[in-house]
Amino acid sequence: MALDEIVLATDFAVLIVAATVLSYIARLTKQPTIVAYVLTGLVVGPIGFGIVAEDQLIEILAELGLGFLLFLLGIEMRFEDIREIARPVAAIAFGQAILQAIASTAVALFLGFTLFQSLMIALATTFGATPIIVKVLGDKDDLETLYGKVDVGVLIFQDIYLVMALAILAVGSVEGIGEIAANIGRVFLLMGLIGLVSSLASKYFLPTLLRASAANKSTLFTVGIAWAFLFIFAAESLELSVEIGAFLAGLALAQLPYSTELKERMRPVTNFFIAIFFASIALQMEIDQLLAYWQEAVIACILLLGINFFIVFGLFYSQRFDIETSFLGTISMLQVSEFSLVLGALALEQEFIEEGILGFLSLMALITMPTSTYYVLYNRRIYAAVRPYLERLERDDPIETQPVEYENHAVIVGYSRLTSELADVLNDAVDEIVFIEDRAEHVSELQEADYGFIFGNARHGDVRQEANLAGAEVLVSDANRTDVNRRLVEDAPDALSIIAATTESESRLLRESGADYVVLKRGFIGEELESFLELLDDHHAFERHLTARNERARDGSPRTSDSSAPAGEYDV
Amino acid sequence: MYEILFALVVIFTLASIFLLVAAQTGLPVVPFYLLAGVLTGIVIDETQLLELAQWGIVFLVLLFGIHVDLEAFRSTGRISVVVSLLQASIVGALTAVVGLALGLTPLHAVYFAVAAALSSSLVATSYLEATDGARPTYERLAESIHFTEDVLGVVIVLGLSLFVYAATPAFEQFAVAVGMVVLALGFRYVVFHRLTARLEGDSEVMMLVGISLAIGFIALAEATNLSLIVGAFAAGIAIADDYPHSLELVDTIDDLEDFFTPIFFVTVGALVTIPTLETIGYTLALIVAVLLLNPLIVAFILLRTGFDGRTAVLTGLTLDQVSAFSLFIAIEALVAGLIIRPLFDGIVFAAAITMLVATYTSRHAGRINRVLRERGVVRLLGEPLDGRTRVREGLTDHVIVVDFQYGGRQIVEASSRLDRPMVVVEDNPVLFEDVRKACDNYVYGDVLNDRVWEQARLSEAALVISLTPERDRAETVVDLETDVPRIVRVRDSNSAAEFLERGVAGVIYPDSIAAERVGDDLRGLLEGELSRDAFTDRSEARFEVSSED
Repeated sequence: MALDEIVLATDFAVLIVAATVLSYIARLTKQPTIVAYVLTGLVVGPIGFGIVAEDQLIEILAELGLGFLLFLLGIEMRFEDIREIARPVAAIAFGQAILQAIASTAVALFLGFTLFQSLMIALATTFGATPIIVKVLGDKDDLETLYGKVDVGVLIFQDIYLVMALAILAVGSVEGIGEIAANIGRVFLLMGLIGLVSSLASKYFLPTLLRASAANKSTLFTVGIAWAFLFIFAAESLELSVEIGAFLAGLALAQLPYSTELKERMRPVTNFFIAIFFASIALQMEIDQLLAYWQEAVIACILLLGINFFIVFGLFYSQRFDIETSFLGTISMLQVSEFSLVLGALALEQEFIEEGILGFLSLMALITMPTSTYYVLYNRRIYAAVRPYLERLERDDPIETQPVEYENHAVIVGYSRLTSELADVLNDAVDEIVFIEDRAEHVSELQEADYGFIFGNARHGDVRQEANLAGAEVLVSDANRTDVNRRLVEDAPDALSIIAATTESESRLLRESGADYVVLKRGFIGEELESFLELLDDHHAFERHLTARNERARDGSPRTSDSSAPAGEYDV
Repeated sequence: MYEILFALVVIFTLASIFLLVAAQTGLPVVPFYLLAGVLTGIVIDETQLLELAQWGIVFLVLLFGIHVDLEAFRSTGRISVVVSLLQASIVGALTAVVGLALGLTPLHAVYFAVAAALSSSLVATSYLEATDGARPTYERLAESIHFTEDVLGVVIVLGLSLFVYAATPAFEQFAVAVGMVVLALGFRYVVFHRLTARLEGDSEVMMLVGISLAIGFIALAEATNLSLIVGAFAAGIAIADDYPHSLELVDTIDDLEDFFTPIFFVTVGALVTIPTLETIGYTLALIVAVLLLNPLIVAFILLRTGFDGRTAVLTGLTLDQVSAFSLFIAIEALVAGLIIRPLFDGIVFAAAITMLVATYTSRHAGRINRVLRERGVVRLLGEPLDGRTRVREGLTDHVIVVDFQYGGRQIVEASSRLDRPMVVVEDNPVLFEDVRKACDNYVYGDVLNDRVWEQARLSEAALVISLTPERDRAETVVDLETDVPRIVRVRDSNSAAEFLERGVAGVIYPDSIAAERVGDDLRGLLEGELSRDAFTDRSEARFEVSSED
């Protein structure tokens, strides 16, 4: 852009407004927002009104959206979670790639494409749509379930061979076997290198870095973004997949206590950009191209969904997953990914395929991506309907993982003198005490204590959920935002809630929201002063009283209270 | 793609390094961003970042608009409007004259004057955020002055787009702008809640609604040749920040702002060219105006309106930096090709320098105030005294209470019940009426002033109680040369230990008192001595007796 005028880019603005309108309607009609975003691209792009073309700003934000989404996915992965399912995941991913490729080639041949075209189509359609699966499962909090983890594992494998496929296509001819091998070797080497850097950083460099950044609200976020950008940039400039770079960057952070807070802080940016990503998919498509093979595309969609279901379900089942996990895991994976467009576009560039085939692939993606959103969203309902037919397949000893959750516990928000003393009182009454705190200076103290500890701000839904607030017996909060306190009280209606407030009107609001006990610290000052005045004439009693009060004030933890001012640094 | 990605990597990597430095040293981050921009300007082509950078302005102004809080404006509003208008016009006029004398064209002199006059900050509100609700007078006052100047900033942007950027000056556009604000207000009170209620807290769609509102108002502004800043401000007004939107929408936009503002400030820095003598001249002139003139004029006006010396000086010291709005205005002018480079660069440099100095002065405001008092500057500016003091002749054995607003109301009742006379020391003219009504004896003035203690008859007193949340005021009471026992409020165990060491008789640590009382109640509940209702009643009883906000 030239330095001529400060105005917002029109294409981008129109795209956002259209996405807002459609997603708002989607929300009212209880449709998934992804569908609304994809529709946005169709409506305003060349296929619809043709008022928006993909410009550089849209392209870069879309790409960043995908990168950030995978980054957040990486942050949610704990190594110990993946390790136990690594072997079955590898088996499923491997089997699925081969069997689906055979099936897709057969379907394409059946539809009258040439062998070469069919092979290309097979290559392009074996991938599940990572953004859809991750977004929908994330929105319905299923990424942490067993099937969610397996799916994510398979998708990561798919991303790896997507990069390989891109490397093969980049060579430009199938004859150069040596060159292809060299290219694949290079890809593996570089990915291994990035992985190594990420895992070393996770051990030696990141803990210190993040502890220092956690001191300030914006710092943690900016450091997180910079970390993601470094990996995305490294992957981009080495011609590897941006997604894998971002995922590895996230993985390095996953093992640290700050991950939940960082993830929640990055979510709005990611949501914003990923909306642009979904909306931009249809922007590159032309209507004639899209409809060149439309009948074939529809038939291929139906056939492949059916065949692929049995392939993936069989693979899941063969890896000793129970019926429910196998079913849920399978139907999430049934769609043609937007990567098929990337691969298709590259193949077109190298003149492996003609434009019509790209249109065919695009149409399949366009049909299956929104459709799959629905069956992923309603996967449990669908499962309930088909369960009677599948039940007799049930195994006796399926793989299981235990979700860990706090129970019979007290949630304490904010580490202060008040909450630490109340924690002592509560210690025997509940099984467990969980502290939620986002001030860096208390991190080591809380990590060493016998309590559960979540680093994060209670304003984030995920932080409250991780603490299982809704199931808590007791809630104590010394958070200094009334809106956060109200949300806490509303999220835990059955818990005994003790909430600190600073003003009269705040206490009233909190009482109305259902807080059982509102601590108005100022009220206690008045009482205290009164006791001083009463004893003022009796010198000895006054002295005794003072000494007792002073000792209490002097001893106890935490020692400092205010994070905005380093101790004693402000003289006001 | 590759180039933009590279630029973003550079920006965010540098931004994180600087943020880490800022977090460790407590310095503000904007100057570092600007300096980072100057460095990165060598490596990256900043013009292609302008599109992204504009979103930085949009989100900054949008959030400011959202936080426009008429409630906070209520108590100190009128005074702060007077103060800011006087300050801005005096400093503006002076610097405009200097600018003209330096050979600037009238328009350039206007830019120059605006940069000197506006010293509010969207950025400074962050350090004015109080954590425990007990906020000293000067903070409240400063906040509402900053707020007024920010609004003034919007008005100046509006004025510039009406009379400078428009091809022909059009007064109708002023009506359009007013119409936009009215539209925004209407939207906020009529449409917004209906629109968002149906989203049932879906923060994803809610965020898009917020951004689209901004886009809509900006489009409206652009269609009528107004600045995008005016549009973003109106959009902010259209968004309500009450519960639960504060959690679901405002925080989300806040997070987005964190992404785009580094890009904005770094880009501004990157636009700076190598300084010439001319640039340095402008920078120096701005620094003098902003660092010296602004605080002095504000302090002077406040003293004239009846505030005590300390509040006046401390408030003045929050206004010693170049406003973020001046940067918006400068970049708009640069893009429109209406500002000369040396002046633009001077404004950016002055912003970076004054923001750094402002952190130093706000951190050491207490000491600066003491030094100014010792040198007689405060008296020179004209501190009022004696006029509002009433202490009964021959009062003895009384209790002196400093800053009784922070929980001392109860003590008034107790003192009359126990027949113990009391003297209140207060420095907030706004609260003074209350004090006059509630108490028999009071002294109006600054605790740093020895006269105040004489008037309060310290030597005859039985006890001094300081409830102030401000550390330097508390320290003054701690270090009083007297045998009268003093009880001082503290905010944590470390300062409790320190103050006891320094010789106070006792400390009041609200958190520890609350912990003890609530702990007793909770223990009672857990051991079955209290029913859940009785437990709740305990808390009810407490907040009925406590003071008003």
